[in-house]
Amino acid sequence: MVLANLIIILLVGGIVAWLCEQISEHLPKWIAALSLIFSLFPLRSILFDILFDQGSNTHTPWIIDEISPWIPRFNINFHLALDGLSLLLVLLTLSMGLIAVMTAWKEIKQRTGFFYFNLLWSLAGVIGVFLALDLFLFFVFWEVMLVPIYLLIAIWGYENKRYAAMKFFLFTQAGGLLMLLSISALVLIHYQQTGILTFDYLGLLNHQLPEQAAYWVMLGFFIAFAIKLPIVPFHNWLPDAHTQAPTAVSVILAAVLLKTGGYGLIRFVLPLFPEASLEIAPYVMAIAGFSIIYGALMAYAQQDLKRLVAYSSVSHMGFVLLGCYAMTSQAWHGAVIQMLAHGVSTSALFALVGAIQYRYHTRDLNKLGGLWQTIPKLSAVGLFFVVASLGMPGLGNFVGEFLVLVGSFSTYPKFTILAASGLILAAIYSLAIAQKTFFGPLKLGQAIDLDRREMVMMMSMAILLIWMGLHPQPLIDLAQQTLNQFPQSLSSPSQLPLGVHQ
Amino acid sequence: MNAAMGYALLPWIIISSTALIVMLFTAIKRDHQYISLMSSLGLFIALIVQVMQISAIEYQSELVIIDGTTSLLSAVLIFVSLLLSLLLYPWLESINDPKEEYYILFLLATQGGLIVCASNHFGSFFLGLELMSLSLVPMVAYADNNAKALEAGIKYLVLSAIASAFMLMAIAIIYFYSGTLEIQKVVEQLATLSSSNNTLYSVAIIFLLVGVAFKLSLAPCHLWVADLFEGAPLPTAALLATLSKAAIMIVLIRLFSTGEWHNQAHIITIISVIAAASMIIGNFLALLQKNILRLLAFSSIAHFGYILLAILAIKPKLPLTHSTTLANEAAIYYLLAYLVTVVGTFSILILLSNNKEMQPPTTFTIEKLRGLFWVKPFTSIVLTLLFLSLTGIPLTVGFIGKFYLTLAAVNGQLWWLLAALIIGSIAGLFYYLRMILIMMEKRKEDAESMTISHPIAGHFVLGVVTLLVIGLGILPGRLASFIEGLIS
Repeated sequence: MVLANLIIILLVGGIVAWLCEQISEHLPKWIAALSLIFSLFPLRSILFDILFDQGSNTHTPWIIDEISPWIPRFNINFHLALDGLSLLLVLLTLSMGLIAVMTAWKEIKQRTGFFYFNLLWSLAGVIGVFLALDLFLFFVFWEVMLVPIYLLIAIWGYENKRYAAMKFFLFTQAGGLLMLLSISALVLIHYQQTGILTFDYLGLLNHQLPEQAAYWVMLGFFIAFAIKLPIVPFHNWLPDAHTQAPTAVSVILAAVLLKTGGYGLIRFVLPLFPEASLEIAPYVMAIAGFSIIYGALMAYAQQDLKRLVAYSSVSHMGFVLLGCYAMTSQAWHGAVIQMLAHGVSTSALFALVGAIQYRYHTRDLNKLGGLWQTIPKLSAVGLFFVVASLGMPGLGNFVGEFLVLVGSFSTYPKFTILAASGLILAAIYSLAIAQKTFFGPLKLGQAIDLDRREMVMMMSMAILLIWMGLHPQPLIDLAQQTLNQFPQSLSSPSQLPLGVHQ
Repeated sequence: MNAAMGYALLPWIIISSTALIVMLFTAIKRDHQYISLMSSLGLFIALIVQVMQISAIEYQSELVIIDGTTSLLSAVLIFVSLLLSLLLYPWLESINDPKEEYYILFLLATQGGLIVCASNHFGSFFLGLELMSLSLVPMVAYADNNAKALEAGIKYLVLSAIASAFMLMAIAIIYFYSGTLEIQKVVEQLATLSSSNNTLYSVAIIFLLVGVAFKLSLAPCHLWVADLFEGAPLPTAALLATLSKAAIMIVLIRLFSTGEWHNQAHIITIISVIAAASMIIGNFLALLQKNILRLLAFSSIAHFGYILLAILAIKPKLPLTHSTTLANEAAIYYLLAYLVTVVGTFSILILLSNNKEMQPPTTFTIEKLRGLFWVKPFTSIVLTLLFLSLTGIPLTVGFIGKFYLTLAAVNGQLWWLLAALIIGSIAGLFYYLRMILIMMEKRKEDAESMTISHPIAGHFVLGVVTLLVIGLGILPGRLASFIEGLIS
């Protein structure tokens, strides 16, 4: 029950936080932070294993595998399992959840109990998504996490919150329904061919669908994940949702929610439909390249700092898509690292924008400027994360983008060259942030610099990024556990996987 | 009348006797409190008997069929009536008209619904239908000479008479052809007919469908439903949305449960068009409604379109699973989910309206819900859950219903209808989210205070409904296996 406990701690924490609002409005945030820290407790033995005794559990892909019956009518089980990739993303979720609680510490003053309730429940849903191995259970978590996030944006958001929240929900729900159809079709075709009715990922994994059917079923999953990621024709909800959401929720959206899309591609689309994925790979690579450049160009055109960071997310997540469909080990490693690094660096940028907005009540690039003169600590930290976001070697984002590009070049050189130009555009919009906010003449008044809480928060994220940039091998090893299970037909055998020492 | 029959029909006997006793009491001495209690008690006893019968009794005669499915659905219908009957007292106490008659009509309508639900013969079907409809007509117009209510009453009377006329004509032609009025036999005969040379027979089926579509307010025949929901007193509207529609839907499910209709291609086409039109038109009409009753009316059109989808998925030879049970289960589960959720929604609306607002024209606007969450958190959370259940978000019973539906429709390979389902669902999501959002908004300073009328019964009803919606949403396993057992 280790994994179920992980989710239950967050759910119970959420309810307790809500109830404690009656006692004091400061209590909920402490409860939220504590329950996030406590939720690491069930994972303690695994973390110790990995930190001090590397390689002891590589013989099985699943570090923990828990299964109990749920709906016997359809042979649906409450099946949670943890492998390298899910472990990385669960840790990212918990740590960024903690960051989100810290950013909300002073910003959220109204109805704190209900706010932290929604925050913890959405994190519980996301963790469920990363752990569920039963397709029905996966879908349940996928949909359930939307409701608290919808409420977070709609109640605590900025000026245009209702529109943004509605758009966010409708886009993801449309994808969700398509995925539900695909899940149904996949399960029924499997039943028709084998006589076994199962929603279990492992049961469906080694089954080949008829070609035509596989293509359509795959497309349903792909669109659902592409909306979440988001990829250009479906990215429309993201800038609005990010801009209107309170800082903590922007952090959650950027750090965790977008990753569910990338996770879905790596966990479900590629292994379940290898042939169909190979078939659409060239088109997807083209879309990914376009996404990278379009996101970067749009980012540069923004006046609203938060919107700019949101569009840069579109560009960065294009690299994840590029990495997923390049069909080489390096590119997949790169996609995973890029997800983690983007999660940290973009969260940090949103936290910074939140800190600026908290001080100056504006996010308009034209009104900001010269902040270095009055709040040097914030500006210095800001410069660090801006540079991280543009892909400076030595920081996490560089490793991710570099691996993606190296991995993709061998299979799709043209699209890779296209995508690489996105790095230059990234430098342009990133430096524009630095130039327009931190340097130049001071346009606004004095303000208080980062306090100790904010410093701790920013520093921990900076350390994470530096660690990812200098020593990414443990992360690659963990991700490799998951990639080892990919069907042989997916990757060309000539290429040696980067992180395997056997 | 032998013992087995007597036992099988015991719930009907209890409800009818309750109606008779209430009538006699009303004739002797009018005592509202007493009569209200007696009606609820009668329904409660009937519910217990019906629940005990669910898997214990199998009874079939020429006129009625009482098997597991019928018993289960009858139990749910009685449950719906019972919940609503608990909420009637404060409203009826406040009106000037005689109050006690409403209970008689209420019980008779329930009885009619149960007969329709168990009918195995066009004769019993029609009698039950008329008993239900004719009891509902005065219930619609049951309000202090209010013009709007009278208009709604007349509308319902005329339209339901037209629908009945269509059905009678259809039944006559069917009898002329097949020489029998037993539903099972008619369906069996239909299977052997080839569709090309039976124009008259097809006309009969189409007439029957027109009648059914009127009663269920499916797409081309849906125009009356919003005016009626708005014009009728709230409890009557609740009964119209649940009992009267569900009873007819059950007969439709029974008609189609063997899947032999798939020989009649044009009839399947007509039903498919009705289903798609209902899903899309219903949801889009509801999109920008300001009055919650109108919104729920249009939404119910869409919901019955969804159930038609499950009915269409009942095919004798399925490409995927070779079994008709899944689609049958889907239709029944969705119907159960709909009944529980909608009766819950109406209960909350009844609880939130003060007595004057219960009188038609019911101006229960969405605006009235503004800020409810911060004043009445429990009620508002339950209402949010119910709305989420109606849109089919997981952890509610509505989601399990929608999951069944998708699985059945994919199994039947109804791709175009599934596209309509998705478009309709997204539109549906929009207006339910809008209402949820309004509940979470800041309350206006000058807003009148919200009180729950009838707190004890009200909170009891809310508790039961929440338990069902969440319980069946999180742990649907038992019920799913149970329904599967009933059908196969």
